[in-house]
Amino acid sequence: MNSRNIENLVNILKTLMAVVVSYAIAAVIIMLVSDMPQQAISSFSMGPFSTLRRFGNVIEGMIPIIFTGIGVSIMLSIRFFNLAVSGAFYMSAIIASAIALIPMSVGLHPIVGIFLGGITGAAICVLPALLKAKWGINEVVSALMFNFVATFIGSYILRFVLFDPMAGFMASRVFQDTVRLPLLIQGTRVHVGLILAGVVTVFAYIFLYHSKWGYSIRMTGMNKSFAIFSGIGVSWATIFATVIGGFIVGVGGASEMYGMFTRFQWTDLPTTGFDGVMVAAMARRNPALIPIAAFFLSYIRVGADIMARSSDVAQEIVAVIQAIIIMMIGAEALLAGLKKRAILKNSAKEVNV
Amino acid sequence: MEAAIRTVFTMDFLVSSIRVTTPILLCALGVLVTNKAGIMNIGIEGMMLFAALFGVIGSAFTQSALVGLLCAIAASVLAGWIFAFFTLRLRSDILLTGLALSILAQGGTIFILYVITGDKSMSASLNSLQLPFITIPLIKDIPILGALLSGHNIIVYLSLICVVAMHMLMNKMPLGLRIRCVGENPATAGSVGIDVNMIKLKAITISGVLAGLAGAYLSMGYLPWFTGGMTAGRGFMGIAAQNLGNVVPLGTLIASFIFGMAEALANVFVLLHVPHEFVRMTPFVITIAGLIVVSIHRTRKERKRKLSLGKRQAADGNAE
Amino acid sequence: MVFELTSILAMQGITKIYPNGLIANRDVDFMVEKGEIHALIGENGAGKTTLMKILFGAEQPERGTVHLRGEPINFSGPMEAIKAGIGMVYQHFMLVESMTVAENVVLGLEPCKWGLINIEEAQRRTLEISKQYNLNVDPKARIMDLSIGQKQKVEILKVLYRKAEILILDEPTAVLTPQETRELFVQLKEMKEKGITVIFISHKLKEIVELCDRLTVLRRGESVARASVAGITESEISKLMLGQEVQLGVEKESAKPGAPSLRVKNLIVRNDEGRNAVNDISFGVRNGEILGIAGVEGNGQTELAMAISGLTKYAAGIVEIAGKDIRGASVRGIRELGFSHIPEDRMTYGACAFAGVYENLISDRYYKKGYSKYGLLQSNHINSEGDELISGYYIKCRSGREPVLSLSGGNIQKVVVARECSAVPGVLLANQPTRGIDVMAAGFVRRKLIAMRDTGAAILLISADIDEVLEVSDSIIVMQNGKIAAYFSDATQATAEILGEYMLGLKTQTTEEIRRVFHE
Repeated sequence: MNSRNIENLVNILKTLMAVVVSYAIAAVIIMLVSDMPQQAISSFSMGPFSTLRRFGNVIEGMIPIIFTGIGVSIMLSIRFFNLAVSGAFYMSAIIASAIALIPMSVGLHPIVGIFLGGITGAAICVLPALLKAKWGINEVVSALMFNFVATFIGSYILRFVLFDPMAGFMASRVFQDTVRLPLLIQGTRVHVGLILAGVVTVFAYIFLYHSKWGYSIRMTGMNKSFAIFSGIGVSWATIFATVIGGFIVGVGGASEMYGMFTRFQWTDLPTTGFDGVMVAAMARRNPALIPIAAFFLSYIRVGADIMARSSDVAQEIVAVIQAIIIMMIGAEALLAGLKKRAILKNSAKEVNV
Repeated sequence: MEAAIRTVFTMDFLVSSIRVTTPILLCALGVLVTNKAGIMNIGIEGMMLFAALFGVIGSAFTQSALVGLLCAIAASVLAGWIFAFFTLRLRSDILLTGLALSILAQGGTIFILYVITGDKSMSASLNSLQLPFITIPLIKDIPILGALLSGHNIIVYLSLICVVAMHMLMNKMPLGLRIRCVGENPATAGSVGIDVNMIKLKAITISGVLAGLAGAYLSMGYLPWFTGGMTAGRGFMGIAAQNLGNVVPLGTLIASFIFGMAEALANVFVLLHVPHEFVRMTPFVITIAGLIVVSIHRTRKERKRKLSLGKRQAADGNAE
Repeated sequence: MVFELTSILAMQGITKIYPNGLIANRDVDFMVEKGEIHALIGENGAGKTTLMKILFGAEQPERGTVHLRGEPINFSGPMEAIKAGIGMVYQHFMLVESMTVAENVVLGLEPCKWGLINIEEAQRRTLEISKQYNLNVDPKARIMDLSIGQKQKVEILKVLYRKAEILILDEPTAVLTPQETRELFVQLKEMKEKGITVIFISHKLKEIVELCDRLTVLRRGESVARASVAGITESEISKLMLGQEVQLGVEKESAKPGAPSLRVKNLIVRNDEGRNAVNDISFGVRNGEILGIAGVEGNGQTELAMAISGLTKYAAGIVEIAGKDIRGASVRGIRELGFSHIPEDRMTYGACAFAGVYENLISDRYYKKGYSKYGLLQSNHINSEGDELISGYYIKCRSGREPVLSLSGGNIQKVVVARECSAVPGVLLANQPTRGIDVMAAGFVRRKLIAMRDTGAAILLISADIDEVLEVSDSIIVMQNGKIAAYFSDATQATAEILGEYMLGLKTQTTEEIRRVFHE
């Protein structure tokens, strides 16, 4: 066993611990506030598996989170904390919706829309990276600004360009049928986006771990000085990572529109971008683990939704679970003693051998 | 458009700008103090949201606005301490933890509201109180100024006092000096015996008090009730405002007022059915532009300074 | 002994062994009398820093006692040392740039009035101390606007404000101009008059002779001499410091140098403070030759290496690699000219701790043909070549996927050397290639450098280890204060003693003698 294995083991342990602790706290809260805690807990944990439709809900919910999670993973691999994914996801959905209103031929229509959605995502995610590379501006601040700007531009486009006065509520006109992504599983709303998400996961894994670009991104992320010393173009790698990551986020926004909706009707930033940050943290930036983390997040959401409808507990309990998991997973000092002891013990054994 | 312009030049507009500015200003000050200690506090949005809810709950159950205010501050400070526990003690990532705190607050407040009232959208069923609005004697009678300066919520006046207090803290008080030292050069702090984590904890606590005031203002002054997600990104605006204000209290006040005016103007536009998005957007665009200008300016100054230092050194060297 | 009892500070029999087995101090005695300026001298790694850390309570010794004013002490941290009247002026200033001088001086111990800092009082006290010791700085000035010399004064003021009676200065003149140095000496002597004890850590013999009363020499963790400055000559100090030559047992045939592949002409490199760290130097390194650069650390070697490898910009001059001017070229561009670099700091520049051995071995070539195809890394080729390097360079690791982090220092260095040498460079820059690694690994690295030379590479060896320079190099230059102080076209003509005199600035060759190394 080498120290990387120990590191991995400790990380897995930490993730499990985070899940268990957050579940335990959630359970305690449910027991405190509910008159029917058993009912609530069982529908929360087992509900998503009770019918095909509900399981379908989990899968549907997982798809966009996979896209943003993968996008964030690629950006975090170069240690670029890019909150602009929220704005990018929203904006690409709007652009895709605009494309969806234009008549086009059957096969081509979703491809054009998804591609342009990707371009939109890339364009927004690269902005904070450019500002940082050129002027050293803090990416967190600039990304938050771009999110606001994206929200307002999006709202303007929705209200004055896409708006359907006949709808009776704030929504765009109905999409052309030609953009609709085909259904994958009958009896659910699971659409072809799932396959696309799978393809993107495989692509991202290969890109990050088996391509020369991924190599330069990871080395820069792990040790920037080393990357510079070795002749890797560090600024370029950062911009490249945000473009690729942003493109994937954008593809996610567009395919979410075409798979799940017939009109655009988001009036505020969806949480999908932040969800991406969460699953990327859970998966420790490894694209291969993103679908698992995304499944988990979607599963607790659907479970909470079922619980809210079949008991007296509000679904917002999910926030508690999410927050505790995020905080605990990143805790360097948590289990640090254990890790140190394991590594020491391991090297002591090595020395004896 | 003409109507819009006419509204802008009325006293009502300035008054409403002040009203909108207050929570942004308090948040910005809260972000400023942690920023000076080297912590990017994106959890402030969540701290404020908790404060807004617990202000309402506290005042409703005790029927005392003061207790409500204290509850708001306590809730926000407690949220800050959770943030501090994870980032300082367990060394969690600051940004991720801040984000998690915001997520916790978004859902958690609604959850608590539902448990207490059975309603998820707003706290109208709770008989909560508002913080007092202050009419200043004498000044209220001055024709135009009276309407502008008098009759605001007490937090509005408090927020202005906070600007002065923050200036004093950062420049005149030992704690402020130490906060700046910890943020700028932690090794130096350690070398003169300053406990870095303790100073950071104090900064987060002050940030919590300010976010508490902001939250209480939202649900006990600006509006008389709590609604889910009522902070609506004001914490993030606070981050922007203190950045645009060059991380000093007075600059932050001015920048916050720019944000407040844009919001107020946008509200006027909404009433007039004119697109308000571009007005709303302006402060954020200004912030980005401002950051660029500040950065260019700083680089130039730095280069000049180095050049002159280099020349001086070279001159000294040649004299030998 | 009566002598020890009168000492204000007496450290006796100090032995410090680090967990990794390194003996940093071995039975060291260090006595300082009240009101003297006492020099603590020794090469890098001689144990000066460890000794001062023990005094400050940052490290605990395995054996030995420390007495302050006759009382036994055992500090558990710097704060206690400061309270006991010991003050340290660090080489890297501990100042907050955005604050004023007075604010920095009082930081942590601010004079207050009604909870507010009494800024007038702070300025008054600062001014008072600065007048008392002739340390003229404006208390209201901001640190960022001060020169290095002034910043150092602020550091001293800080220590004096805390009522230090023993002042430790860690190589204070390394960053100063000659004027500033002279000024500092006047001030230190003034402090001595007022009863303050000064411990002066330095390599510069001239300065020690000029300033200090007595000195203690450390060599390889032991205190080898304690003497009064009046009773000892500079060359005696130099001999004590550098010691006898040690045979490393590296065998080599004489060099058959060709034409120079690396040429440096009138190079000037400025450091962060705007000083000329490399001050107008010219030299050439020929194919099939190892040119060693001897010198006390901090005399411009680091800046020279950074400039040649493209990691920092240089202010003026020409650097040619394989006949091409590298001005404006990227790091990759320079490497593609056939340049390789074993860096001084292997954990920052040389290796990526969290990446595996294979990944560390390809960082300079991963994009090239054979290593990637259609953008995909060719892991078969990468891993098999990696395995060859692992066995060829005797890198001890469990597998090529093991993160470099868990390897020993010597093996990490072998990873770096394997990568840089397997690139088959025409020019190889080896900066402190054996620092901090075990004897076996060091011997391997040195033999590898010689083997590279025999295949015709031009090798520039920078080392603070004088024995290494003497044995590995074919010819030697000495760098002192950013300039070349001497050139020996035949390394066998030089000895540690001769080099030492040039390294410590006691002698300098004529311009004509030095010019020969340019190989016009």
